[in-house]
Amino acid sequence: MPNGIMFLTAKERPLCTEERVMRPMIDVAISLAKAHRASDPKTNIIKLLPDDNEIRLVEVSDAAPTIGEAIPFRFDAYPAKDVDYPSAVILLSQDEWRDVSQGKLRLPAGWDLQTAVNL
Amino acid sequence: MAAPARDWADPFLEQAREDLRAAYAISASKSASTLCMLLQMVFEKLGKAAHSRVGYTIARDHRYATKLFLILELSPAGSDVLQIAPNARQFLEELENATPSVANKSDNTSAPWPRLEYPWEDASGCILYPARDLALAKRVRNPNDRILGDCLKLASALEKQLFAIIQ
Repeated sequence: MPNGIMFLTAKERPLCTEERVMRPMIDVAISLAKAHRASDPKTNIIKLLPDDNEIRLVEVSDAAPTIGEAIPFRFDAYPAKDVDYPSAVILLSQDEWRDVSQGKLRLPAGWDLQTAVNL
Repeated sequence: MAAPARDWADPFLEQAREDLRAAYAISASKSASTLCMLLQMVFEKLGKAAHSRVGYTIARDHRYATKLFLILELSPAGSDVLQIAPNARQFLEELENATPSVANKSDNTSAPWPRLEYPWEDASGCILYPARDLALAKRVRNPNDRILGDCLKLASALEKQLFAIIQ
């Protein structure tokens, strides 16, 4: 009697047979936020902004100097470190965060704080 | 007749800005060791800009990030910038030690310093190279580590405020 799983198509088989299971984007984002807070305990706000292609984080830290711009720096996915998605971080000082909140400093196009989630 | 030292300040700052734009642009690539090299170059040029600005002649030397931090420490505004970015300062000093000309001067043959840019030989005779073996590059590539962002942010602050800080 053949084993049932042998007759599943590749699409039907669970992802965890041979390949690693990819964690949901939100779980990876939470891990990133935790790691960033550990390396910079002066990080007091981290927001996850929705995007289908990359994890977008806005991080506000007392250890960040003010430059008056919101420029993202990006990372490729790094599965060996359990980060299965590309990510982008905008690091803001408290003054810059205040300006963003008041609409005086704009985030890049497509970075929408309205639907952001606090991490 | 050679140009006065101060005339070099703006060109060094402009070149640091160019390198910084390139660093932001390749931040998502897998070329972490090249990104490290760019970060080192940004801070070396910022250091040379600062030194020229205060009237020192620039030497043929890569150790200008360390000198930049020493100049910044002399002013309250500079100290403030450094105080809020201690992680970046330590990382950048380690990067400076990995520039080949600095690392080659290390007399510790039992534990040779790792190198930016070129392969190096460890104490056991094994040849290592930055793209695979440079620990600093591994940190820069790792999304869990925010050191890249801390360094880019510090560089951005200095390229905007350097001459106001050191006057």
